[in-house]
Formats: sequence, structure tokens, C-alpha cells
Amino acid sequence: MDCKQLIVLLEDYLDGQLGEVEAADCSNHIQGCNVCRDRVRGAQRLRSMLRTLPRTGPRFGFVAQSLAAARAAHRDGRRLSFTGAIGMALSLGLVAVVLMHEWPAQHTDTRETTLASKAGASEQTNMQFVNVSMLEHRNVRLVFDVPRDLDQVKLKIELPDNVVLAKSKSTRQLLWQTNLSKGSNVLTLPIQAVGYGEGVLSTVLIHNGGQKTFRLRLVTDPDSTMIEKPTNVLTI
Amino acid sequence: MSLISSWLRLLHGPGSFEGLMASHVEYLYRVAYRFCGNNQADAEDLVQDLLIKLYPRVEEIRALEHLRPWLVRVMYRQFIDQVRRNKRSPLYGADDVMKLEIAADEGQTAASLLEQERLQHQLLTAMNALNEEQRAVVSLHDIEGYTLQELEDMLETPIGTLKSRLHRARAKLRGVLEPFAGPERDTDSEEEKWTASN
Repeated sequence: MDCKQLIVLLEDYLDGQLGEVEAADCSNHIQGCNVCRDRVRGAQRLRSMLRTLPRTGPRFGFVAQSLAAARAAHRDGRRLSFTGAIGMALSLGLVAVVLMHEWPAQHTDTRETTLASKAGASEQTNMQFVNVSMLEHRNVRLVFDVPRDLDQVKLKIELPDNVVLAKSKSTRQLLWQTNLSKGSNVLTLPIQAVGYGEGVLSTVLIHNGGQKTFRLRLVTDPDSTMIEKPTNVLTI
Repeated sequence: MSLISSWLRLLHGPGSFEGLMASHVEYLYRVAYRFCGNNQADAEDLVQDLLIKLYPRVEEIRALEHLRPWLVRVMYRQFIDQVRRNKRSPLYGADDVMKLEIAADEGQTAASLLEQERLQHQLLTAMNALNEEQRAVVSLHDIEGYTLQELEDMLETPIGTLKSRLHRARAKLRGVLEPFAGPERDTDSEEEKWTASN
């Protein structure tokens, strides 16, 4: 066996996937070849590091919360289908924005109504909100649902004072141009609460001379903790 | 079994959805966390969506002999479906946001981290750069210890394909670790010199 052959078989050799004869050939070659011994060492080192990577468990309370949320979603029939929400937006013939995140606030049963009023009104009075614990990292998902392909849509997202982008704390505004495909287009905003109080995350879509603004209240309550997060969940 | 699992079994009964699933949620989260490139929020979403999807299937779950591999299989399918759905979105790779995240990741490699932590960080970053299928097979085989034969059934993927993904993934990961192998070799050669001169 030469080094080229060993390279081809190395991973299978270390995984114990070779037959006896091939495995013995590999062992013999490795014993006599410094370069391949280094290769083996490198491969073993990687395996060892992967095995010893820190094991990250869920945050406190997640197990009970997630199971309770699964039960609640079915028991109360509150699991709204995203398809339903899309249908609502399509029927209005408007560019609609659904603002979601992984632990939605408690008013999930009114979401369709809220969505409809958002899509049909220029000013929203019935704004959705999200509770964020201080310093907690949270992903807010913006789902842009459009009835047809839209080219060169300008998107402007402005953050309120009580939150920052988790990985770019100095950025207050995101502005870019993109094309939206018919259906849902997802953007995840990783945010972190840095101040108590209430702010409004605003998203502006500008297309073909017109524009629509959608807003989401972000509430940082001094009394809220990770454990007290609302547990009813709406999936999309 | 953890305290919370025992409590949920006691509260809802061992044959209930909670009773059957409680001892697996933490494990599923850990696997989901790797699948999702070490992103807590995405991992929580994945597990939560899985539980909601499985809740009406409690009878089927009760009848399973080996529940955990089955759960991982369903979660993997859901993960891949989700990735495919997201990739169809033109905003999925929105440059502005992606750049921000990459810049922040680089910044997170604090100089004060110990060497082992630095290597682990490099490795985790490199794992995030793998594609989703490669990351899943590395997570399940090299981290969680499933054999390729088990994964063939679990991921419903031929063993040859799994091997190919695994080997490519490891090659990429080794490439990331190679620059950090220097000091170890230097130490060896220093030891050799020391032995030789004594």
C-alpha cells in the first residue's frame, strides 16, 4: 500500500469500516510512514475534539414549556396554519407582513384578525407585541408574504431604543433592496434587549412608488424572566 | 431520568405525550442545536415544531420500541424540509445581515480564551460552514456516536452517501484545525531535541 491508497482508505480505517486484510495493510503502511502517521494523528485529533465539544443543553424550563406548548396548541385548537394566514393576505391583494417569533405573545388566537387589519390599514392600532427579557437573545422572524413576485423592493427596518441587533449592537437601521418571491419570504432578526420599557420595531416596504409600514411592539418588562415567557406557541 | 422528566411522567402519566417525550426533549434539543449551527433560538424552534407536529401521534409513539432514533429521524426530515423552504426565500441569504453575523462571529474569538476553547470555537465555526446534511451526519456520527449503519436507517440515506458527506465534512474541519497543529508539533520536536541532547 502507498500513501495515496492510504489517504483514500484512512477514514474508513479509523471508523472500523474496512475488512481485516485492508485494515492490516493500512496498519502496516502507517507504521512505516511518518507522513501518514501524522495524517492519522490529525484525523484522530479531530474525532477526539468532536467527541469532547461542550454539550449544550436547553435553557432552564424549556422541556416543560415546550411540552406544555405542544399540548396547548392542539387542545385549544389555537394552532393557526400559516397557509391560512397567507390566504388572508392574498385575498386582500396586498403586501402583508406577518411578524412572528418563537415564543409568541399570548394573543395568538387573534392573529388572523390582527393580520387582516394590518394588511388593510395604513395605521395599526392593534399592534402585535413581543415580551423580551433583559439581555436575552431572541430571534424575531419577519415573514414577508406577497401575492406575486416583486422586483426591487426596498426594505427598511428600524430598531427601537430598548433593543439592539444581537451581533451588531451599533446598527440601528437596516436598509437594502431585494426581490421578493411569490409566497413567504423569511428574514430572521437576532435581537437583544438592552433597556427597559417599550419600543416599536418598524418595517417599511417600498415598491413601485408606494410604501407600507408594519410595526411590532417590543416590550422589556422589569418583572419578566425567562421562566415566565408565554408558553402558547403558534407555528408557521 | 431528570427531575423534570420524572415530574412530568408523574403528572401526566407514563403513557401520556409528556410522559413519553419528557426524557427525550433535552437530547433532541442538543442534536437540534448542532443541526442548527449552534443557534439556540433555531434549535428551540425546531424542537418545538417537532413536538407540536408529534402531539397527535401519541398512539404511534407509544407503540415504538426504539423511540429516540425515530424521533431524531423525524426531526432530521423536518430540519431538511425547513432548510429547503428557507433557501427558496430570497431574503435567506440577505447580504447585509449575513455580513453582520460573520463580522460578529470573528469578533467573538476573544484573545483571552484558552487554547482549547479557541480550538473549540474554531471547530464550531467550521461546523457552521458545513452544509446542513454534512453537519447532521458529523453531529450524529462523530458527536453523538451513532454508527453509519444506524444512520443509514435513521436518515434514510444510503451508507455510501453518508460516508461521502462525512469524509468531505471531516476534510473541511481538519483544514480548519491544521493551522493550530503547529505548536503541538513544535513541542514534539523540542522534546526530541531534548532527548537527543541528553
